[in-house]
Amino acid sequence: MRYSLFEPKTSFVHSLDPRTKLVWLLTMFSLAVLFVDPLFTMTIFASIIVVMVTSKLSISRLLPQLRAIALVACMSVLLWPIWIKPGNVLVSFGSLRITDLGLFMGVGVAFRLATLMSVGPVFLMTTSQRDFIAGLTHLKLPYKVVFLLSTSFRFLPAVIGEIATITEAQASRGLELDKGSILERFRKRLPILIPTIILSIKSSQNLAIAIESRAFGAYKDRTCLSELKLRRADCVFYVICLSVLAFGFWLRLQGYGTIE
Amino acid sequence: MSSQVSIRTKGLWHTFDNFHALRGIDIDIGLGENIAILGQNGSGKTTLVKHFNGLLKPTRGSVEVFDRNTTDTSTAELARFVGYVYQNPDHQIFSDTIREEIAFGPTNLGLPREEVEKRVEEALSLAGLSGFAGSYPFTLGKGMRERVAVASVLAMLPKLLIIDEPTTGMDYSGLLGVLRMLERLKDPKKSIIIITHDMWFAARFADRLIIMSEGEIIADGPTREIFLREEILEKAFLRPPQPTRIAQKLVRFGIRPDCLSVEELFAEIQRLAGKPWQ
Amino acid sequence: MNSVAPVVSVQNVSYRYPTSSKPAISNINLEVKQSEFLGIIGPSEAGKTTLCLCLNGIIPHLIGGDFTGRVDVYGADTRSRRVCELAENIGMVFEDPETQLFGLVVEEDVAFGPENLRVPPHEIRGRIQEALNITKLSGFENRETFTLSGGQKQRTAIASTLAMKSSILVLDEPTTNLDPVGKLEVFSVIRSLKEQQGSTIIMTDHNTEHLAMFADRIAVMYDGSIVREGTPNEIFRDIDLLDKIRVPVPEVGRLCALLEREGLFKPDDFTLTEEDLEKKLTSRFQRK
Repeated sequence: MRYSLFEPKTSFVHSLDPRTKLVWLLTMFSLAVLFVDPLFTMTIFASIIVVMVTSKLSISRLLPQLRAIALVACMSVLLWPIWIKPGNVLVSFGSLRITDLGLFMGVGVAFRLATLMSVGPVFLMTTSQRDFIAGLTHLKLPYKVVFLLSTSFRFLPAVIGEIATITEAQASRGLELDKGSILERFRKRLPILIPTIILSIKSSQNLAIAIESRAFGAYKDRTCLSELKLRRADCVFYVICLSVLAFGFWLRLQGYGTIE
Repeated sequence: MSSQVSIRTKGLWHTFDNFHALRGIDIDIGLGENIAILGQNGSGKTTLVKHFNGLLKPTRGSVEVFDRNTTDTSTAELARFVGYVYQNPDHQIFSDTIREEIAFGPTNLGLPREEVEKRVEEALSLAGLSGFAGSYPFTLGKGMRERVAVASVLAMLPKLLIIDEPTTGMDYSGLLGVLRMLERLKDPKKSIIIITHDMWFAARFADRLIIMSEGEIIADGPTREIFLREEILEKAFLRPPQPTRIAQKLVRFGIRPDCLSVEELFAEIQRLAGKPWQ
Repeated sequence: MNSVAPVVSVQNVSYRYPTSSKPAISNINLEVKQSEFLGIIGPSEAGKTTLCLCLNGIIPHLIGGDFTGRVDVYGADTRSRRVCELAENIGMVFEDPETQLFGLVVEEDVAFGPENLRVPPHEIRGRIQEALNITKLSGFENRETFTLSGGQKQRTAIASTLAMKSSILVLDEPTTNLDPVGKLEVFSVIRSLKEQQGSTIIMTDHNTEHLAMFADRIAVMYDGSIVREGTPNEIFRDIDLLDKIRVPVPEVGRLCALLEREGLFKPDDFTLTEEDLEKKLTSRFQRK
């Protein structure tokens, strides 16, 4: 079972410093939220498609995310027109009127949501967990937060394995998880949930002791084994992202890409 | 189909992710047998045993448990005959009292309440837990929790009892307790299989040893015989118990090579010592 | 009198856990000298783990409870230093291989301690290499920790403490949850630490076979107290005591003790090594 989305490949995006990619992620997020005009949001989403293609990402691994995006996008296109009343009527079914404004919003928000939902996976597929953590550390996030995240990555496979073992152990005692009413099935999860929680608590106690025993918190600051260096490509990319973001803000302030 | 056979596997293969965990296993396990399956991690012993209660289904070949083909039978159904005690009791324990914990299995089997209560009492006494029925299991020591886990499975009255690594993490006192309990459970109408690395424990419990390595059975026979086959054991990264190794080196003086314990070796030396030594 | 000062000195220590009504350990007195290998044996719940946690300050700083007495490490009282400071001198390896590894890959885990001690990155790399060499894990730098076997995990934990350059290594039942191959791997590393690095080692175990062969001294714990202390030969010939408190006697030792009782062996003949015993028995039989 694969526990992370990361695919080691050689591409421009893969080779960028994780901090650069985080800046890109934040830029895309901000731009998506700034605008609602379908032309704008579609362009932003298209740029992400370009990134996906140039990173040689395998679509098959992205399928669950793509399906979710398609679903949310369709819902947006269908629901917004029902909600928005003002505007010129394009089509009407009985009392239901579809206006141009409604469609505008529906499509525009659809692309916005598609953007928001795809930057994360693209980032994760082009950045290894180690690099991600290194990036956060070098961005001077409080180490406790970074450590929490990296420990979660580290233990995710172990926890999943434990849940599988617990499930098997209880199945061997006759527990049938797939039978019964909704309420019964819910109650049947307890023999799996409780051992999981208790084992997690015991593990965290052991972890806390182990961490202290390795001098965690001995000094206010700490050094970091992984050294990240920004290359010229990173600097150029930073500049591009920040310029685009600034331009986006300016456009928005001028009133473009949105409706009153 | 002989009703004396608990388990029969024919040409059992199990593959996952292109890895052959089991390569053509053919064994029969009969009623009344007390077996230890030995081998290193990755040898396939746990994979094999998980076929006996349907947790895993064969990729190729067949497994029959008490005349039922496991491919068509659910784990819940097989749980009526096969009890599987997992290595870590904390993977099973979830109730507020030991009594409730032990009642879980029989309740899942759909038994009436009086029957469940009767079985709980019997299991409590078999596992030596009679005074602790109302105790909170999470505050008990590891040895006790292990016994609670075994009692919970015993309450289902399995005809085949499987215990996965009963010795890992146990101290000597706990080991002796488990051995004593297993001796009480031996029954000509039931089978017990333990999976273990511990030669000392296997020597004292098992009549028959099955040694596995890399998905195959490389030795299968009476305990004393298998312990003499040092080259086979080496293939599975196992060594005979120390007294056996020492006895084998002293065979030319008349010592039996198949001594399984210090006591047996000592008795042999006494027998041959005769006149006092210098 | 010229005696080398002990590196670890436990003076009259008793401790009761916050949730417990009776003390876990009572009136423990123990000294460990530089480069000594002390083995602590005893059944479960004898207080071995509790004692270990007192050595690097986890007790009393992290766990609270009722602590009396004094533990000195290199002359400094553990109550007056923080755990993270004491960690520079004492490296601890715990029983559960899983919950003491937090790096995503081996290299990251071994670097964790030195990073906390503000060791510069290029020096950390050197320490990692050395530590992985000693624990026979060279080449494992980028292996993901969750793919390691039990024995490999424990060796990584040992490497992590070596990278912190702690001169005292405390191992609390490090092989209890390992399969035989893992046990051998870990013991071989501990043995080379003793023989080649001259480390001071304190190790607890409820099994006795390996400690019997490598420890310089053994302390026997039962019900929270140390009931006997001495060399392995002294301790393991007392099979009555060990049987009473349910501590396994190494099989070679038990046989020697039984033979001595029968008058077939002299006290001098007591040994804990298989090869030695075979030689002695062979020569006896040949003389007959």
